[in-house]
Amino acid sequence: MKGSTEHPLLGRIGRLAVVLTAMLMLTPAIVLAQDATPAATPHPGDQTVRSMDPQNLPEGWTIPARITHVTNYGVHEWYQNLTKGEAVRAEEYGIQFEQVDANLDLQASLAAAEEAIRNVDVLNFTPVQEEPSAATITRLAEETGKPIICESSPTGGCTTLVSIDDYAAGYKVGVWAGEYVQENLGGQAVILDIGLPALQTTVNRSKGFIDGITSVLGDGARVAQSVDGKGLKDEAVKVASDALTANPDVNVIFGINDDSALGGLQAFEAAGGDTSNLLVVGFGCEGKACKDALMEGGPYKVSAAMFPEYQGRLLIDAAVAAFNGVELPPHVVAPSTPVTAENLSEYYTLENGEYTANFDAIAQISVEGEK
Amino acid sequence: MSAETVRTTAEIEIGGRRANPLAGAARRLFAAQEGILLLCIVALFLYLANRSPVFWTERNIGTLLTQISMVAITAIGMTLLIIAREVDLSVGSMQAFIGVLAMQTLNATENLFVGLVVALLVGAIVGLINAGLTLGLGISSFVVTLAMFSIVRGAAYTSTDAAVQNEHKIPAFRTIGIGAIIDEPVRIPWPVIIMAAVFIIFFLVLRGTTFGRYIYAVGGNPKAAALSGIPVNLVKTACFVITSMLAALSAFILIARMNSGQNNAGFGFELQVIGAVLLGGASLAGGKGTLIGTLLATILLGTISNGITLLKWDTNWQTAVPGIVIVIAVFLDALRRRVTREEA
Repeated sequence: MKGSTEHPLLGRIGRLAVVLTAMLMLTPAIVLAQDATPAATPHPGDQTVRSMDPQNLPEGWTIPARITHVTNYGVHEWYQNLTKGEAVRAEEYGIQFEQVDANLDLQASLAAAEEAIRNVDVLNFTPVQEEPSAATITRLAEETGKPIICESSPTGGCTTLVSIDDYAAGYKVGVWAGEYVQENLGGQAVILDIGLPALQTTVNRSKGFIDGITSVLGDGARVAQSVDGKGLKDEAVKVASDALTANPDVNVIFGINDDSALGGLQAFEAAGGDTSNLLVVGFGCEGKACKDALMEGGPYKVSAAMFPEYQGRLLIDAAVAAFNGVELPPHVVAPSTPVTAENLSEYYTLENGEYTANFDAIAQISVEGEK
Repeated sequence: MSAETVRTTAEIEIGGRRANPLAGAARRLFAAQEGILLLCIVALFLYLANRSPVFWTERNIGTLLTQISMVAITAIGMTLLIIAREVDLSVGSMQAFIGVLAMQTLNATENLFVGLVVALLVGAIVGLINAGLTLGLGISSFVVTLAMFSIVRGAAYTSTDAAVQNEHKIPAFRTIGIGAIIDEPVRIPWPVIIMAAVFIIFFLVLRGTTFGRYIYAVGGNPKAAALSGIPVNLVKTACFVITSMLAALSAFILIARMNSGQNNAGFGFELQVIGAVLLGGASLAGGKGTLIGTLLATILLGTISNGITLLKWDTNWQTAVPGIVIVIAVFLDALRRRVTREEA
């Protein structure tokens, strides 16, 4: 209004509105600019761990005499293959390697860590439970000054964590599944998620898978039901049988490990379902069962491989680097990728019924952007 | 007029009026643990049929009965053992050990009969060891079978690094786990038929044979039974062996369902089995229990588990709800005892 005087408060509000509007308009540009920014420089410690050669260590480095890995569930195939990988790599360095297993007993796990760290140069540790282990691991690290390399789950007090990025691995295999559904199942995925809600890592796998498949199919992907298979095949068969009765239109089964996925497949077959219109997606592929299932050419088409033998090597390499004072990142991301009947031979060689990991090919898998 | 006739008349004539036959039937139903369980099952079936459109379908009932068959078969043996005043905590670990061993045997021999016989024989040996240590050394069966629980689980882990896959590909093997004896007019899965056969055999044994009466006598008062000339240790040994062999049969069905022998199978299985037997009206003090009660309790617990998944409840309830049901059933049983003035 001509001649009128603007109230000072109104003026401030107006300027604030202009600034906020400008910020809102600039947000997409800022986000896009961030996307266009080159990836952060890899952590030097991370690069050191990935490029280590037992026969050609940097000058002045010393090799730790003993490393012990306190595992949480040693009878599982994952830990058997992981510790085999550690043992082989330790032998290449000339390190005495031992494994102590807690068999899912938290107190036994912490007691074993207390005892082992006094007699070793580096402790590798897989927690039974992350948070309740943190205080003990932090105290042991402070008291002894020795490196503690954690596996699987982040735990307070650890020098670093060596594990895959569960969400990213789930996402990648979810994208693969989405593209398969688009090409072969009419673009509509009705998903049975056989999860393990008690563990954050397995929750992340399910979440990553669902986000990945949804990124391809959009509304064409629907989670019919998420059930708790407890990571065990007998339990997975049981809960999947009930869930498939309630959701007979399921055409994609996702399991947070090999046993869960294979259990879901058994339940589907038991219910007399048409497996030609089914996609089964596994996670881990640490054992022969998964690899054989992939090669059979049935509905088990893909699994997010975690390469336990290679991760075992990384654990020992990280331990040697930490022992020599290399500053490590909080997380050394182990590689994972969707494996299928078509690319399995790239990562594993089958001889006399046994699969041997091809470390060179696994080392080439990109972990860029994973955390 | 005989005493029997007088009692019957007195029961019918109440206050000069003829009692309602329905009320009489209800009273008789409520007077037994089986009646309480039956009422719970009917109520649960009605609730689930109302809440889930797939509950009362042929497919779901078939799935439900197949799921409970493995628990029920082992629980039948466990009922005999608990009536005889003993218990076996090793049946869960046996699901792993016998399963792995049976699958290894099947892979090696490619003979279904040999695989089954080996499973049952190893089961019998475990039962004999349990009986020998319990009765020979006078150690509580709780302690002996707790030790066996660890030993057998350890044996499963030792005998294989990983799951033993089906390499024999015997067609009839899968049929045991997922096939049906008939498909029309209703599909009756093989595990359900095996469960029914085992139930009928041991129902007749427990109700109609001298051995069955001996089991109740041995559990009710072992000293009196021994003084009466009943071979107490022999009867108890038979119960241990039967329980272990039926656990082995369950393990065989389980590997046929999974198509592999898993060394981590059967976690918590012993609790499901013993829970069903106790919920069915058996007492750890011995001398008491029925196979009908055990079967009804197994159906009740299995239906709860099935219903939780069908209704898409938080699956953590699968652990908690059966415990709540056991507490409710025990409360109703205590109420029933107070009303009928029956001794615990």
